[in-house]
Amino acid sequence: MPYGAVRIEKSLLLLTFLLASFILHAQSDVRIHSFTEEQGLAQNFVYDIRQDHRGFLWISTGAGVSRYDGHELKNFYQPDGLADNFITASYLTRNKQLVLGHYQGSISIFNGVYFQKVFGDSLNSEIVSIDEDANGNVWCFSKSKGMIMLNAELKNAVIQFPGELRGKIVYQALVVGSNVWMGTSEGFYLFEINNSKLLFVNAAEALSTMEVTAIAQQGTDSVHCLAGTADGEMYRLKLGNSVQIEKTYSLPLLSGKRISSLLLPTPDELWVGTSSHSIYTFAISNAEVKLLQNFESQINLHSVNKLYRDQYGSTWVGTLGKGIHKIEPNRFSYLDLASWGVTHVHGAAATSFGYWVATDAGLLKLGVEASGIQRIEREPQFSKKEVLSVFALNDQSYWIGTAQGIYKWNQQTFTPIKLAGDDGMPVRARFFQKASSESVWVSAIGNGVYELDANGKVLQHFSTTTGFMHNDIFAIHADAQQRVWFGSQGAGLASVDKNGNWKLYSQQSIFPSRDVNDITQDPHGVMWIATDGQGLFRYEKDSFQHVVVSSTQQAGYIKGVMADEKGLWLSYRNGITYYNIQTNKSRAFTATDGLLNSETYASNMVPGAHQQILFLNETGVTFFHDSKKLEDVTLVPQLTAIRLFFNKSIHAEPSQIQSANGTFPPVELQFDQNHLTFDFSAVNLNYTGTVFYRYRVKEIEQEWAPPITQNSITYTSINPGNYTLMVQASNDPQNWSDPILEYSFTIRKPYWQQAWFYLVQVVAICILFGVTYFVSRSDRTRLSVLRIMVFVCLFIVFEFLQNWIDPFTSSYLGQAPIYRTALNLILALLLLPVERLIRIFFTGHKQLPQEWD
Amino acid sequence: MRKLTTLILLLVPVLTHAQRVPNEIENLDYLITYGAQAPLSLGDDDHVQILFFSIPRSYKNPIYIRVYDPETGGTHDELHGGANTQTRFSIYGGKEAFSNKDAQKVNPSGRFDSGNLLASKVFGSDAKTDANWYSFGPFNPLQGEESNEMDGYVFKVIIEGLQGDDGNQYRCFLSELANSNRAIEGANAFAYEYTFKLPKAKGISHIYPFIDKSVVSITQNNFDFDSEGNLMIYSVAKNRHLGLVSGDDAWAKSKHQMADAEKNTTLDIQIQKTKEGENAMSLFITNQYDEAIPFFAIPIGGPPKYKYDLKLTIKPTVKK
Repeated sequence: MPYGAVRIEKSLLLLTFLLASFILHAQSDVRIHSFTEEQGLAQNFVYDIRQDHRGFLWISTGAGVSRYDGHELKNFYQPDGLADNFITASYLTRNKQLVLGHYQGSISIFNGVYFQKVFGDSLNSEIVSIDEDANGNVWCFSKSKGMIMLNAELKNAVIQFPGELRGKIVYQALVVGSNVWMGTSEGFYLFEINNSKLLFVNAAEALSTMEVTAIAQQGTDSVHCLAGTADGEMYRLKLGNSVQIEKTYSLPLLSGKRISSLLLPTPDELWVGTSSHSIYTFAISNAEVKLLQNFESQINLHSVNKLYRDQYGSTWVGTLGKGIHKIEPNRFSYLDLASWGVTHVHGAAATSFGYWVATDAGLLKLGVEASGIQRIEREPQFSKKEVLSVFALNDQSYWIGTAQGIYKWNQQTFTPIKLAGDDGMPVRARFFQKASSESVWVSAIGNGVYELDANGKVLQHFSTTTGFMHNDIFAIHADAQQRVWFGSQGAGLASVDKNGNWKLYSQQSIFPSRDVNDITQDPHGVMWIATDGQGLFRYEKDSFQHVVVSSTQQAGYIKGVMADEKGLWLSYRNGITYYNIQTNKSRAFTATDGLLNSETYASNMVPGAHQQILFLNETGVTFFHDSKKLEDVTLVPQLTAIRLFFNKSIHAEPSQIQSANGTFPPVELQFDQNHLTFDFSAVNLNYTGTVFYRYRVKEIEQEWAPPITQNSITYTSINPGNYTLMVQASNDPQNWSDPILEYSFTIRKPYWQQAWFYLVQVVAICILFGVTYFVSRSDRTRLSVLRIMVFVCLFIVFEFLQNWIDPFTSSYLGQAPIYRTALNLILALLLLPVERLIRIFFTGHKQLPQEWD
Repeated sequence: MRKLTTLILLLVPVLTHAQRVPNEIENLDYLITYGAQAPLSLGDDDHVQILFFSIPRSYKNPIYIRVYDPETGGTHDELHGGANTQTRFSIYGGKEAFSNKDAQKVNPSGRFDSGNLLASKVFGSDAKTDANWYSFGPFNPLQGEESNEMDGYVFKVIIEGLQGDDGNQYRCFLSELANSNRAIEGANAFAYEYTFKLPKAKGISHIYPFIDKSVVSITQNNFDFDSEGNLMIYSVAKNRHLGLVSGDDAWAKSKHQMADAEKNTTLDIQIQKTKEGENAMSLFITNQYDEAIPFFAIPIGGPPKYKYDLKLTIKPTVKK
């Protein structure tokens, strides 16, 4: 009985609709990565967070500073040059020097290569904030003993302690233009920097009894300050000759909660961290604040001390006692439809409101909004039917494939498309594929393929009865050249052009695979074929090319392929990969990116209206959000240290330009400092997958060494000379297109191999000969001196020859002492005539004079 | 199983009150600090109270110093007319917070506020904190001063009566949690001088100084006890040793020799109040060099028990 003829009671329909309607909040809008001492953090108490110009994240803790590169944490302590292990504040200057403030008031800097102390702990008060004024002076504000000002070279420390601050605790200070804003235990204070002196301007009288524990600047607004208190109150202050409360924000949620950190990544987005509770995000305007998200349920995000936004848009939460946590938007969210009775998701069609999803438990309407909130409704007219496929002819008209046949549906009435298979039974549509504006291809289960016009009239039908390659077609694609491509399991790939000329690529062995899962065409007209077992192929200019996309997934088994403007989305059994055709770079997403391994079951991928892509799984769907924002992973390796054979770091002094550029200064090492370990790191806080490195020293190796995943290499016994170390990083060991680090270093020659020493040797020998000559002119001393000199000279020559020949003989004959003795004997015999000649030269006698004996 | 349950039930209250100052075992209701304008005759000799908390090295989690009823006004305070008193609570850590000699003196002079000021808050009359807890922290245990003597990290709390003439009664607690009192295993609290409120009823309060091996004699100094009872010293070697007690607005002191058996043990100084009524007093103990001796909220080694020294002589009888 056709559906249109089914009468459904309106009340029952409404009730069913209401019951079936269910609002779902996004599974999780954010992903949280936690780093504690277990993951290698120096301590679980985090006081400050700062990203440097090279991309490293510096995490200040009570027991050292941790540097994070996206993959590992490296800790630095007092023996590395820090003034103290307890670091409470950090700041990156305009000259790209990292300044660290300590618990006892000392100050350290990191110049890109090593740490050094620039101010001792005489202040005996915790540094709470560090900031820089317009002249490059760096201000280090202490909690209760004033502030230390360093000049732009980070020298000449000057301590200032304005009387207005005595007896008060400074919680936070900011340098804004020529002003200094301070949140203190007794309200808000405004100072002015005048000739490097801090002059009191005014204080917020209304806040004098309040602890202003956190302050923040809204964008570049230098007239207004956002101030949070220990009692959970928040104010917008107007600063001028007087400091006035312009707006008191009503935030009952924060009442009584000590605000420890305010973060305004954009002028209208506010993050509030509280020291005994959690984090809250708000939309903020001059008039009001509106709660966006409350993280109270995340127990790890309690005891917040510091909030920080990195260059990639992730928010870092430093806590007191619970480590540091990275909050980033969740790219993936999984919607399990099992609770809707779904055991198999068959297909989906994108619409303006979201998606229609065809399942064995009926047709589900999936509402998707830009905010990511999803709403599921079961379409009552299909509540008891298995829906095999759904196709949006336009936003009002759909084709639905069921076990009973295909129907046209305008969301009110059904019209069956009368289509019988070769067996006379109604056609069950596996999926639909738009062929042109007038026609649609239908993959019919067990009945080949049909081309239907918009009214459902059959234009063409191919099945094995008509000589078609297979009755079960899993991929159809009508390309821009008016060819239609068909892919099957077992019979492979075929196409038919507009004139009806068939090409059976697999059967004619033109295409190597017989199991085709999906076919698509990219905007450049290139066809892409995903196979089951043999990977991805591109078809261009009448030839197929195998394309190796990534070795990190199960590369051969590609379930689906979908093209967008830049590249391809590929679904595998254990993940999803995006392959950028323009840059030839791929990015794999697996469980570490928030994807469940079991999610990518089905091949079907459907792009949506809000830049999301829907991946169909066995019992649910996976959303990939903000697909347009996806960028290639670029990994730029940077040299972080050179060590003498795993041990001591070499302190190379970087110039100001090198510090600013983040380049490691070239080093010139002694000849015996030739066992070197190079540490490097490709920093990308946004990429948590494996980083592969390859390297070579240009002058030693012609080829790159095989890729490695550890980020240090050691070379031993490097001969004197000039060298260039080359390191390249990649997220895919098949693709090396990221920038190469080139670092020059020199191993000096030993002094005896240097020109000046050769000269000294020549001069010394000349002197020796000269002295010998002059001495030998006197008959009295002639013979004895001559004899000594001859022996000395012969000894030297003998030693030289022996040292020179010995390695060669040893390599051929081995190290047996008998060979060395034999060599000495041969040399001695060879030198005898030489001795005789010298003697004759000096004495003029061919016979040995009697005096010699 | 029943034995285990009983043991747990017995342990729970001990742990719960472990780092309360004053401790339940001391049987003192509250510490008290009077406003700067309050007369000394009320019992507070200097309007300043200094407490120390020691945290074992092995402890790695955040700590909180919680104060019960830090304000003056409402309940649990000694008001003289309208509540007009302000009290400042300051927490110190870092270098010299404890080791500075001035911090260990009984008179708040010199650099008694040595160390890193970590937190400070002035409390007046405030309904929110009346009969309620206020938490300072969280603090990193490493923020305390590292002390080999205490085998851990030491925090200092200074309570100052800034102005007014009322008595601010309060308790402190070293806690693992911000919102409730959970004792830190192995931690302790100590002071070199106590100004406290005795229970209104008759009873015995205790102070537990630790006598190290260098102490030859101690001098107990008490102020403004109003002669309301006795002061007794108990130890492993002393049983009911009487100490001098002070009258109103007056100091009294008495010196007591320490036996070898008392070294590295805890004394129990019992303040036996024989009259009912409100009474606040100050007390400190010094050694033979006039250096203050710390007394601990949790007596080290537990409260002392006098060991009777029985000298038995057995005389053999000879039968004739």
